[in-house]
Amino acid sequence: MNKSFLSISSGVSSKVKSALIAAAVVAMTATPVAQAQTPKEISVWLHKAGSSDLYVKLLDEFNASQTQYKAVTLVGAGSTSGGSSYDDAVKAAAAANELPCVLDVDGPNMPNYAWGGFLQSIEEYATEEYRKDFLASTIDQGTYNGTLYAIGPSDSGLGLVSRRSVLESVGARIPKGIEDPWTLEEFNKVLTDLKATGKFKYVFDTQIAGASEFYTWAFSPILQSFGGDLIDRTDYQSAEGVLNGPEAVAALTWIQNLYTSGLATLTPPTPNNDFVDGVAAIGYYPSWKFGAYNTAFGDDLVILPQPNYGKGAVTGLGSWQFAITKNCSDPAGAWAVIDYLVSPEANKSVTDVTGSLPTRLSVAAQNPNWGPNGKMYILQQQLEKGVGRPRPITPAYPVITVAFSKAMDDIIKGADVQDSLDKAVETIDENIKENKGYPVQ
Amino acid sequence: MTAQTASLPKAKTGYRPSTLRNNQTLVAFLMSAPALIGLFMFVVGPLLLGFYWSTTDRRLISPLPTEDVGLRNYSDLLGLNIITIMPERDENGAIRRDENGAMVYPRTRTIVRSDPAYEGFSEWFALPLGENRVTVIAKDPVFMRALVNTFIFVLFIVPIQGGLALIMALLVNQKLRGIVFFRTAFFAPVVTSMAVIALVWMFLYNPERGLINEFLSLVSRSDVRIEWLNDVGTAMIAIVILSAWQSAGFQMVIFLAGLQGIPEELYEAARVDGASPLQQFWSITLPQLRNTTIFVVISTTILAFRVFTQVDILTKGGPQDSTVTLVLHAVNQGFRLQRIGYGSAVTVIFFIIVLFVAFIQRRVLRSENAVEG
Repeated sequence: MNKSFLSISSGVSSKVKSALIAAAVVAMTATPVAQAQTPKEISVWLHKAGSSDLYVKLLDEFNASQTQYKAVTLVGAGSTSGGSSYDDAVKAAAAANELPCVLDVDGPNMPNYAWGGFLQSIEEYATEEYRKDFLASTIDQGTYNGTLYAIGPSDSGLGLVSRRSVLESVGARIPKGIEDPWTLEEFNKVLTDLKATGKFKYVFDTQIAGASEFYTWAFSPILQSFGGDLIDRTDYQSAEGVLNGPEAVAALTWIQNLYTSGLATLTPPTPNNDFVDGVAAIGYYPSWKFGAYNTAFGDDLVILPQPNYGKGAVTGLGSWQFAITKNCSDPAGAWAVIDYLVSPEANKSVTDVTGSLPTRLSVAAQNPNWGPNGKMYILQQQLEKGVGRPRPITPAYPVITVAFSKAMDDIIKGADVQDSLDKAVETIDENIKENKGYPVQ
Repeated sequence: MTAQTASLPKAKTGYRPSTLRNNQTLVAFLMSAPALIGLFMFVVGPLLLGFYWSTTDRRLISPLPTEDVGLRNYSDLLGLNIITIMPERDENGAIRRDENGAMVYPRTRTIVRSDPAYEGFSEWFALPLGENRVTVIAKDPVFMRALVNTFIFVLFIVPIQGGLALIMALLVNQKLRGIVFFRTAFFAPVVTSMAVIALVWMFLYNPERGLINEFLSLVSRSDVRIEWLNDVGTAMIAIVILSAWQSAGFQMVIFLAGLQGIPEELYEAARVDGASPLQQFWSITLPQLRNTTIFVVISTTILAFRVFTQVDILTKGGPQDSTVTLVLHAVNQGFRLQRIGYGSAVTVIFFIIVLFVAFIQRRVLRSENAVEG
């Protein structure tokens, strides 16, 4: 084999050689022309949600706006992480080295992916100057170990939602802003007073149907406001005493009582829509549902800040973001796609359609709902004035959310609070130990 | 298998290896290649890989190097221990009681954590024994529950689903106009995605407006509000009922084929002898369906062990692990908690159990059948 190969190569005449070189030159000069005609493909994965159609449309617009790149989009199933099919697919693809260039990731999962080594830093693209227009909470959510890996067009906030007429009928105080949220006693009284009116099938629509990540996003702020947390944030090595201490037990007992006392229900007649239908008096309000509420109640709608359960009010935050994977051979092209998706124009249309919180300050300022006179100003203020607390930014997050959701699910269905939280702590601590404390790589 | 081993020695003694025979072997391999390649790629390969991974601490996504851990995953799965917990006593030695008069015990967790010998264990279940509490602790109580739940599921679903399938087969075996419609209707759930069926049943099981509670209310003339999927006591029953309904159509078709293979003369002779329809069923139909029944029981058992989708969608193994199954535990550990090594160990144990059960079943049913034939 070797010998014959050598003889052929040595036998190549100078004529052939020059022909080859000529062909190579032609090929080289031809390449840019070919590129202009067939743009470079950038693969993009999106999770399936109400907003996916819009993102697909935005990516089509991106393709039409320039000729250098072509985003090839795939919308995967499942919207929530912590055991969703989208999250499963991403992990499987990561293990098989089959990830796309641009990946849509749920904010709190990013540190795990980054630690696993399959995301690229976007520091060089998202410069200090570039970040100035973004909400600090969005940049925090996208940063792991001092490096920015992900950025997105929307953030989220949490509060209570009700009708002015309903609250006034029981003489409840309506908080004006984030400075005077309800205290635990006030909130309890409002709930029991509303139940006593007998006008509602149940009082508090907690929107838990079919939820997994929602449990962590929406209920860990209550846990934190009671004084507990998902993990000890000093070194992210253990949840002992934090997730199963007396404060955490008090928080989860309070949540459990909502369901056992009939103030909330495990089986809403129309899942996640009972407040809009008038079946429930108060809704636990995720910012992205503003549109539906506003259409239903208009001027009667009131949005209230998160109650203070003892140690100050806390809101959940964070949303899906975009990251570039290690598999991507053309990070500049991937960034072009992301840059388009978080551009002020795209940011505006995303937040107009979904009602979620714009991450660009310039867009938020112009949005009538999020501005100082807007109905959602309270949620914006919560994030800006430090009421928001991100879900723990640690590679251990996937196990934390699985353990907490399971404990929460068992507890609201009647399990012993202390036992369930102890189990969650054991799951988390064992996992961290098994991963040698998730050492920074 | 038996045919192959029987013919091999004969071929060896009868012929010397010839080019013709070699060609035949080659052709045989070529023709079975598509099936063999598939078998090795998707069954044998992953199985061997699973065996290997179960002896490592391989993670799904991790920069940490994979290490061999020997049989640690298995000891973490199967570790069991029994401790006896005595009630708390006050300074006079009298047993402390709470406001309801029940004896107060120290928490199992406190005891387990105070003794390094019990590291990694937690409570599975406890039984009262006199004034003490005999507590079974396990390294992975969820695995133990999954094991028990899976067996309970199989134990219930095989007779329920098989019986339902036989009844449906008898019904659609009638020579009536439009019977094809009913055959199709009964078979339809089998070809419908389990995910879709699970969602539909989620509405049926809804305690407030679900069809099932409404029906029970109507029949019992009272307000039935069973929390089917949210109650530890009913969640597994709910899963069994929907699973039996979903897949009975498949067994129905097999029974139907069996029924149509029974010679009509047998029934004719019986009718001449004056046998009632019920007698005909017990003395002709059932014995003639013996082989069909064996196939149905074995295939249902093996399929039933794999229960996963409906549980994952409807209950995620809850409430309080009352519906967690072996496959769900394997997926949760391997994928969602990213412990591929540990998840592999679960699947290896699962494989051994299914193999063992299928083997026993074959032996038992075969020998009975042999006596008959």
